[in-house]
Amino acid sequence: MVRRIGTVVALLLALNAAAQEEIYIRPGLLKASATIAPGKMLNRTVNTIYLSGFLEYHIEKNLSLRGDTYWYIDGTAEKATDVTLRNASRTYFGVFYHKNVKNWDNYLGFQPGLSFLRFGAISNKTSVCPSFALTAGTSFYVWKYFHFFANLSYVNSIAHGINGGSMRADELIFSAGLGFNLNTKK
Amino acid sequence: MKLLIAAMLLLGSFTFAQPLNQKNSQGGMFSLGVRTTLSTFNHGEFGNTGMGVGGQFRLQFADHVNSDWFFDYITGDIEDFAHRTDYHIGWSVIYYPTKNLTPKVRPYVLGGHCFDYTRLVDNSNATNFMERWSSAVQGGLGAHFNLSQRLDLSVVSQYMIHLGSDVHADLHNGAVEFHQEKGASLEGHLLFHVGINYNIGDLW
Repeated sequence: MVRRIGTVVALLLALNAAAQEEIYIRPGLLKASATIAPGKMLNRTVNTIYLSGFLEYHIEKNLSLRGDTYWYIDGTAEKATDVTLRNASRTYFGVFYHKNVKNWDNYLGFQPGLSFLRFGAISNKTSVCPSFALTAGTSFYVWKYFHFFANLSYVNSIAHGINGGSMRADELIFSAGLGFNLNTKK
Repeated sequence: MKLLIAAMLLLGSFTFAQPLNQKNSQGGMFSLGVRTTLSTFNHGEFGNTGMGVGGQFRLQFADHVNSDWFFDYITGDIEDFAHRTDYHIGWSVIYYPTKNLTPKVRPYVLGGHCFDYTRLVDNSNATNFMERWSSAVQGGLGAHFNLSQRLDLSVVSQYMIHLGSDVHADLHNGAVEFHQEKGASLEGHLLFHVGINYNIGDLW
């Protein structure tokens, strides 16, 4: 058992040492991923699940342009009186500021965008809502083609045109997983 | 269509791959961006704030004079019985009063014109609505926070005065009624924008 743990630790250290040989975060870095992202609505007791993806390009070592899309899969309400989404998709594009230590990258982002929201139980109309996202996250680049990431995004949106008044649809959405990266410049 | 997408990708990769070369003055600089808008009040009434999203491009005329061409899509409530959607398309001239041409923070004054389409809709009956086309003038203050040679984050506050008939919604005996009143009015929106712009290149 001790030997196995020792082997795993040695492997992790070797991976870490290998990862430190080359710094992958530099201008021209292109990265993308798709993952499953759980969310929590902040104005009602509703939990959501999205399929999310992003595409990002580093114009500087510490600055990138990034687009994110979230596609609603399903949601559950803890209170029967809370309304869940029937359909939703959210798309954002904006700028990210990065602070990195070797291949470990921490970042904050601001992205204007649009949300398409339909609360099926109370309205059959899809509301096209101006929206924005604030994102904080971290990534660790393990190789020139792979990185691991974790993001937490606050998305702000209000669905209008609903009988009885508008409905806020702010959410915290968490996403994490394996990402793909490629340096487009030498 | 595929050819167009390929051409856009090639153009994008070309501009991203090159350092920004300034030919003579800052005149000719062309940049593209997106922005978020907060409309803090409509027609003199606080509350019923609107949220918007839009895009803009800037074409700089001279070292201290720029232009901003924008489109905004803004939605907001009218109490809980109706909602409004505003589409703004327009331009502003930007004047930079400071001598330093490449500071980290570059404040500016702006003024310009805008064309608007406004649509008010009853929340309980989408066929009950009123729409209006109008023009507007706007003026305000802003600042670019230059994050890099090519990228800036801009914060702007501007007041937009509509020149046209006034439209508003009321609730009478439970029914939503829309009213359009003739005559110019000096009421409008106080708008706040936060946006980013990417400098594509120097056109002349």
